[in-house]
Amino acid sequence: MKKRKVLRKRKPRVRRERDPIPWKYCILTLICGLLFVSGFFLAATNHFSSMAYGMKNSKLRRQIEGIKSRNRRLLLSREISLSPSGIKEAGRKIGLSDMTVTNIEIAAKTKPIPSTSIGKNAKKAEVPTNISIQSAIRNNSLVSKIDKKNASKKHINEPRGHRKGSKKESDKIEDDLIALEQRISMNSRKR
Amino acid sequence: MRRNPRRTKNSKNSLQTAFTRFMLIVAVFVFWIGAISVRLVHLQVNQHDKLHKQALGQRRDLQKTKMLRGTIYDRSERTLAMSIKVNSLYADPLEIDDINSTAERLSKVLKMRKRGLVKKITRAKKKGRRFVWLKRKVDQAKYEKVNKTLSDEDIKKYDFPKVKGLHWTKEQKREYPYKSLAAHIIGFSNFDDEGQAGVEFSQEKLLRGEVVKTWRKRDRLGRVYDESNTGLEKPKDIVLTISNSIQYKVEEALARGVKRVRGKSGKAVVLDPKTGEILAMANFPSFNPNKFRKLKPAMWKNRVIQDNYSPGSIFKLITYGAALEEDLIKPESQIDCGDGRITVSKHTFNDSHPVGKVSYAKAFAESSNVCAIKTGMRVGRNRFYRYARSFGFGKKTGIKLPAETRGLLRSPKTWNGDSLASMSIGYEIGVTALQSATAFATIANDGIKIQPHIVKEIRQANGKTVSTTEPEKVRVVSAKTANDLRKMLRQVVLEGTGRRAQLNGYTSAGKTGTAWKYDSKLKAFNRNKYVSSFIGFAPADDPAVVIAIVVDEPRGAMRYGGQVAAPIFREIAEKVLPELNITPDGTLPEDFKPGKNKNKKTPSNKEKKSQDKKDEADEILASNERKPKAGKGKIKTDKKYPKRSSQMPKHIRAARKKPKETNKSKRHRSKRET
Repeated sequence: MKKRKVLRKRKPRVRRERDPIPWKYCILTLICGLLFVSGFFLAATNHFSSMAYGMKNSKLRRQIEGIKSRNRRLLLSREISLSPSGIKEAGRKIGLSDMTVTNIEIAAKTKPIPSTSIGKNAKKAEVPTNISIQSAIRNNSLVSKIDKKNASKKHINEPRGHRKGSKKESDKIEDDLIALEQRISMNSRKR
Repeated sequence: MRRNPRRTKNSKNSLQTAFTRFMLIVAVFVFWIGAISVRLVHLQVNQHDKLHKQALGQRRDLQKTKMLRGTIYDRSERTLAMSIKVNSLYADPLEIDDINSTAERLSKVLKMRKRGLVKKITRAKKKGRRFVWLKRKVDQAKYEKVNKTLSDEDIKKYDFPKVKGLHWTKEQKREYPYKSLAAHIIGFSNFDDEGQAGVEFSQEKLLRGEVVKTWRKRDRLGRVYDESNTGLEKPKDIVLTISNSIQYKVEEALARGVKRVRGKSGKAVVLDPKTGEILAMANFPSFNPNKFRKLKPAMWKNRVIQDNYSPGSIFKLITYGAALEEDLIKPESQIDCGDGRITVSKHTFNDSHPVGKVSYAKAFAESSNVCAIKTGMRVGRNRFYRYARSFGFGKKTGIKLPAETRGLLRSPKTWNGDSLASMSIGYEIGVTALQSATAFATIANDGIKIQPHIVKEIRQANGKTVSTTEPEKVRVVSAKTANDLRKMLRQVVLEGTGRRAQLNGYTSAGKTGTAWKYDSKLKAFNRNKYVSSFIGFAPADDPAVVIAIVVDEPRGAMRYGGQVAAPIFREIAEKVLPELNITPDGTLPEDFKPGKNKNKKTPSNKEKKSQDKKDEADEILASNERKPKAGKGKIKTDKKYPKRSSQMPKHIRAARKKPKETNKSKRHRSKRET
């Protein structure tokens, strides 16, 4: 058998050649990866911010409900203070008494009160303690703002002696009305 | 060079080993991931619903709240009834560790007994209950006080109060700001916000707030981050026809009038005849709907529509109205009422005083029973019944208030021989005050009957009108008949029994009524118990209001409609007409001069009382007594007043006594004699 001579050529030195870096693909992959991750971040942010907004909303909703119920309570207390029993009680607290026969006689004897402001000059003016509500209304010193419309209507039963005063007097009367209203509302709040 | 076969084999083995190990690791990983995937699929596909429910249950809770009950307004938008949100305190006994200390703190703040609280919470804890009421419907001030007082800093709780085991829940409370004003019309609702009487009951479906289910999602700290609820329609608001101020004036006047005569009760209705709107409906005594726990059913009975009474002479309006409409009589034609007595089917009817031969208008003004019976007999059974029905008697008015009675009007088939005569003067018939007022309103409105109504409009919560009431209109009598009747009613006030109903500055017309009351125990009419009434309208020519006043069982000297009810009518009319801006159409009394009446001596109370007693004595002597037979001169007295003068009341004796002769009269007499 013949041995074959295998010529073994010495391979030349193999230099490893590296492929050029595919920058385009890398950048593209990076961008996609970033998009993917940012998507996750966005979803997480949305989720948590929606929860935060939800909590804020429920807090505001509760505030609105609280304000609405407070509004209703105020309306109710306003109606109570404007009711006939409420006005009577407020009148009694500031020294007025119910209309009785004796009070009518006293009111007929006492002179009508001059239209000075009650709130400011209350200490100075000598107001009789037993004065009746109705006589005070007739003297135009204690008509409430709300009843002003009714007071302006001409009633047959109104005594003719008390006519509408001058402009200055009417301004004073308005001041009295506002002061009295404030007093009544303060009393009703205390209640 | 020769290769080493062993070396080749070894390298092959190592490669295979490495490969095998690699595959083993891969297989482990695959198996691991596979197991996880299978588990994931099982959880997310097979057990999806169950887990979803569980997750929701952990972070979601359901809150049931009732919408606030609808508001009731009067015609000028004043709130008569409204609901507000209030808080109610409850305890979760299983969360409370130290019951005694918690109860002690609560009792100080809520001003409740500590023992009771301890007992309640302990009992609930033993039964394993997780909910027990402590205090319901607490007002805002108390709620804030409890939250401020009861707070433990170390406890982290999302809701108030900051005490373990105590929680607030929202409820609603019904408030009536005007208290007893129009209480019988509005009614009241109970602790569970269900209407029990009045408009609250009859309009329950509109006013009731539905239960709203709110789903809330909470985080681990209990903070709510998402809410959703079932969108239900809000309850409606109701606007009534009554006017707050008119109602107040009517109630005050009625209370004063009934107390003055020491009556058992009273009722009043103020009606607009042109629209059928009820401006006021009052009952005395009244009640406070805010304190409904203390109420008994008799207290909230609306007597205006639920009580039957015999109208008496008021019903003569129907008798004369029917006769006028059928052209059987004319107001100016004459009728002979004889001696004030008439017998029909062995039953004798008397007049209070004989009127003789007079016009129909005069007979009506004097309230002659004999003339009314004769007129009724001319009308006839069937026609009389037909007119009574067409005026609204014997059937409900249809007002939207509960438990209205139709009254009592029997069919002619069941009438006795004297039934027509009785009915002509207002007996054997039961009417309500509202039916009577409606009949008079028909005459005031030129013969057109308008259905009375109390509900003006129904609105949504945002103020938008849903519906308004359109009442039924029916012509009952002609305009001419109505005009004639108005003139006759005017005569009653000017010259007849209703003189005390004359107004200052306005004309008025009306009819008095005084009837014995039927006693169910005696099963007969009790002659000592009366129902006194007056129904009228003002102004007389173009009526703006119809006012009906009925007083039950007035006691004392005054018991007739003209004495008891007519003054109440006057007081109400004089206050209501100016408020409605009605131009005065009458004249003031001749001696009325504003500002110049100071020196005029008005009769004192004593003098007025003695005059009233004299009037009563005259009337009692005249009423229900037979005229003395000619020649005998003896008067048979009623059993009430025996023959011996010492046993008679003082005022009767005084009335019978001859006036003392004064010196002046003696001088006059002697002058005359000479």
